[in-house]
Amino acid sequence: MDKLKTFVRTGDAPAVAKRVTELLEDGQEAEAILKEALIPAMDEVGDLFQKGEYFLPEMLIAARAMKQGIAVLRPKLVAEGVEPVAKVVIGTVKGDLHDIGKNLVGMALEGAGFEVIDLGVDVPGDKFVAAIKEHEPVALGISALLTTTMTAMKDIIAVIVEAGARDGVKIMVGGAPLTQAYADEIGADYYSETPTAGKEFVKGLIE
Amino acid sequence: MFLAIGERLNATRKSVAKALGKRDAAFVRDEIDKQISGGASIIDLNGGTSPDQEPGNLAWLANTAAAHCDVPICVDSANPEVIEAAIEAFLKVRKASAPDAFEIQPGLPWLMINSITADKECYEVLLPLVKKYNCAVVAMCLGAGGADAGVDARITSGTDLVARMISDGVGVERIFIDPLVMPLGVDGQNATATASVIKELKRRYPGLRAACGLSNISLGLPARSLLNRTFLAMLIGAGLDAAIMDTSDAGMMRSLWAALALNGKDDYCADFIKAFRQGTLTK
Repeated sequence: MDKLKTFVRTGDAPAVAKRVTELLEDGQEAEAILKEALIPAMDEVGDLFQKGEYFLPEMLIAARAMKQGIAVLRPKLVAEGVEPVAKVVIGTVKGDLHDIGKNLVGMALEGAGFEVIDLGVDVPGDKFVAAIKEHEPVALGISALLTTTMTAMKDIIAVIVEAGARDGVKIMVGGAPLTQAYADEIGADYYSETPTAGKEFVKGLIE
Repeated sequence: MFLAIGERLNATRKSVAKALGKRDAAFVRDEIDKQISGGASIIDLNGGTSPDQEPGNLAWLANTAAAHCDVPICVDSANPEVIEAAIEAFLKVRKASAPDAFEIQPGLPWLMINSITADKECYEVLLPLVKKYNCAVVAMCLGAGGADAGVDARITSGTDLVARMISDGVGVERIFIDPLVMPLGVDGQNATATASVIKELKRRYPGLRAACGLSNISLGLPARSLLNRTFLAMLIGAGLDAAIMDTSDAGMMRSLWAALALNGKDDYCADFIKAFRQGTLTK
């Protein structure tokens, strides 16, 4: 298991896939491989990135390596009846095509064991509403990079409230032009400057 | 002439946002002086703290800059609606010296708008302003595929935008195409992609100039200043004509002078030697 963690941390995707296969052959349970190796290793990578010790490409290849491992595990996880910890829906607001920050948030959340439903960029309010109703996520993450598109967050939250979909879900917002004051003003539940901090908030929700 | 567009008066910087809140003109004047003495030929002004504050901020910045110096400004907003008021605020002070010609010296436009896109709401507001004010404009290679679209998609959207502006009566010499800079940390080909877009669009439209920001290239990587200035040298090799950059960064400016000389854009290495005599290459 320690070897597997090292392969995730160094972003060696082929080695991760191979090691997961070996562990399964040795009789390890898929759930244990996921929760005792893949998730802790990726969680650590997210923390190192947030501390500035890991850099963007290192975070990206580690996330890719973890994905490879999960791909090998998935049939076994389904067979063992293992459910993801919880679901999170993320997306960039309508009118905005930036996705790097949002993708980092998604990677950190996946790394922490959540199932992430990524709606992509240029997402209108009704699409967020539909995703909340379909997936029943514990949290919804909305991203915007421009001062001109950040106002769309307010409209999206209004659409969610109007559709009666606000109560069961916590809303996280992020993006370069945002501030805590703006997040409060539009009625968001959580804001962070760093893309990987959101996972701590979501972890807190399910404890 | 290469245009170094000073980027420091941008509301996403906390010190600038604070100065905007207090209408601290001394701060703005000091930032302008610092950038000009570093080598800026144009000062970029961005007032985007929040949507309701931005129009007032930008107009105040333009007005303050006009009152303080003769250097052209680059009116920078993602919201096309706020640009005209800022230009008017600038002209209130600078009107007496506003030129009838597009350039105040060869290669240097009197005013720049940053930036126009093919998006209907943006294009229809800004194109008439470029004509009305006889100014330069940054045009972004931004199509439906978004900012991280590949080289071919960006070349296509850039070509379409330039062709449309020319047919709507904007001279090619007024257009600075922005190839869009995506972080190298996300894709190791992103720096070469930027260079390819610049080369191809300038090949298609002789007389077209290219401009972009630099710092996005190094997002999420260490030693950002080193990457930014080496990227600048690389893009000058690809034909970059202007950059939105920190002209108070001495290392960056040294790379600029050296890259211009090495790429045949500094006759007799005159500017390079001048910079050496002033001590800016070695201090």
